Amino acid sequence: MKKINSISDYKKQIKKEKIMITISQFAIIGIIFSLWELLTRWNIINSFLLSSPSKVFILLSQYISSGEIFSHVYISTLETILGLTISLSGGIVIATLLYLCPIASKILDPYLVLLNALPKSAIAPILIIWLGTGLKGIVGVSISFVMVITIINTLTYFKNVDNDLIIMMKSMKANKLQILFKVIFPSNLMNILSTIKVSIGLSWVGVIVGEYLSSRQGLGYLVMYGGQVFKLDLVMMGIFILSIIAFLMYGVVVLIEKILKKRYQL
Amino acid sequence: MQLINFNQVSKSFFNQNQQTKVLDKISFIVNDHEIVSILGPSGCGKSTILNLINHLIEPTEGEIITNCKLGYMFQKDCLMPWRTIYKNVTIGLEITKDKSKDSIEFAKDLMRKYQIQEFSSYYPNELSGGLRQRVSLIRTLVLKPNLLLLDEPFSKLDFQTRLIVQDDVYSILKKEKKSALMVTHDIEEAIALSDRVIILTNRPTKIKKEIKFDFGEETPTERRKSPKFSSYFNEIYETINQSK
Repeated sequence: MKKINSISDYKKQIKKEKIMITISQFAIIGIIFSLWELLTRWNIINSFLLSSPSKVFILLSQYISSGEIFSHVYISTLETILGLTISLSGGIVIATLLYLCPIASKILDPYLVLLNALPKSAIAPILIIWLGTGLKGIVGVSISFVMVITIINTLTYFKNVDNDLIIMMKSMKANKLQILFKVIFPSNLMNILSTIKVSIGLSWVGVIVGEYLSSRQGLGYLVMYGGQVFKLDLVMMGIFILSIIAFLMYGVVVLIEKILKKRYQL
Repeated sequence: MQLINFNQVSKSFFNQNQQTKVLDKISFIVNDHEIVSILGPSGCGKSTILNLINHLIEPTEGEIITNCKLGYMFQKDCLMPWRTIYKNVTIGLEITKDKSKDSIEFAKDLMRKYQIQEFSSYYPNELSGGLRQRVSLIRTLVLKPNLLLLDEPFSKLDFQTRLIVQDDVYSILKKEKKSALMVTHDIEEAIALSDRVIILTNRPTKIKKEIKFDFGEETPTERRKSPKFSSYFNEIYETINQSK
């Protein structure tokens, strides 16, 4: 490796590394797709079972030109964002109440653990029956996936706030609400963002499970339907779009995180 | 005037298996315009004393009279990284909902006087450790306390910074005519900064000895250079290592 003698050398070095990483990242996906395509063309692997990138692409362009895909994307994204927003705000409110009332937190602890350990997909059918087969039911399933873990994580973060900061506030005669709004919330902004990052994935799982169980629309529906009629192109297309949207949502949170970090010189 | 009067104070902590007696009939006073150090080994209950004075906990026996407005300065600077220096300094006014012009002007004056004005809009992570400790002291002074509780305020700093910050804190305390009660396990620190030292024993903690220092207006650095410094050091060292 070249010796670094100046800042411009250093910057070059960093830039070089960045370019190398980006190229490798694209190369990996490129190699996977081309291998997949070639192997199915040469009939080494069965394109009926695994579909192929070109088939998925053709199907996708059909869905785009007919405009059908947009309603599926729209409904699933809407369900995910609704599920995410409700569970995050609800989860944070509940965690705050439990934080303010330690006795309640101790009493409810085993129930939270139980709810968290429970495989959420097991209660999804009940939620669909209670809330209906439409948007409400699916958002409900999504909430059941995200809410409990949000409460548990947020509560842990709140309890881990530097005790000296709290004593400092108390020595200035701050009340509980002031401590909450001036210390607990702001010091956990980053933690809440990382909770959101985890929750995005979970919320999608909830939506897809909900759509598998009962739906006429959405990406989960597309994948389910494709599977039932053995149209693997459709299944692959669904998965492809899903991963792109989830990735974009994740990207937005990472961007917010970066902006905040820069602002506070963290 | 007596600012703090500890009268035969004992404090025990309980858990399922045992009762731990941390303080055993401790009595001392802190007067106006006096810097007093409490010197003792780790875990002897120094922080317990501060928490008692601050009424964050109650004594098991005895009584504590506090005749003053308290300010607290910690080992860590406890600055909030999401607030600018100005916002950190004025947090006390925010808590007490004091928006009066006088108080804000007082805070700004202090910042100007102790040269942190130019960092007003900076965030704490952009400042050096020594400067952050100064900001933390100014934040306390904004609420006009007459007694400062210092909880090993220099132990997180490297040695060179510590010397500078000690001079800094000492001169600010003297200029602002504040009293202070400092807990520390560092003998030199106690001699360099205080007018009087109270030496504690191991748990259950009693007072072993009180020594009054006879320095003039010397700064901590000047005290360190003075011949009296080493004789006080020896005296304290021997007191600590004395068998009971």
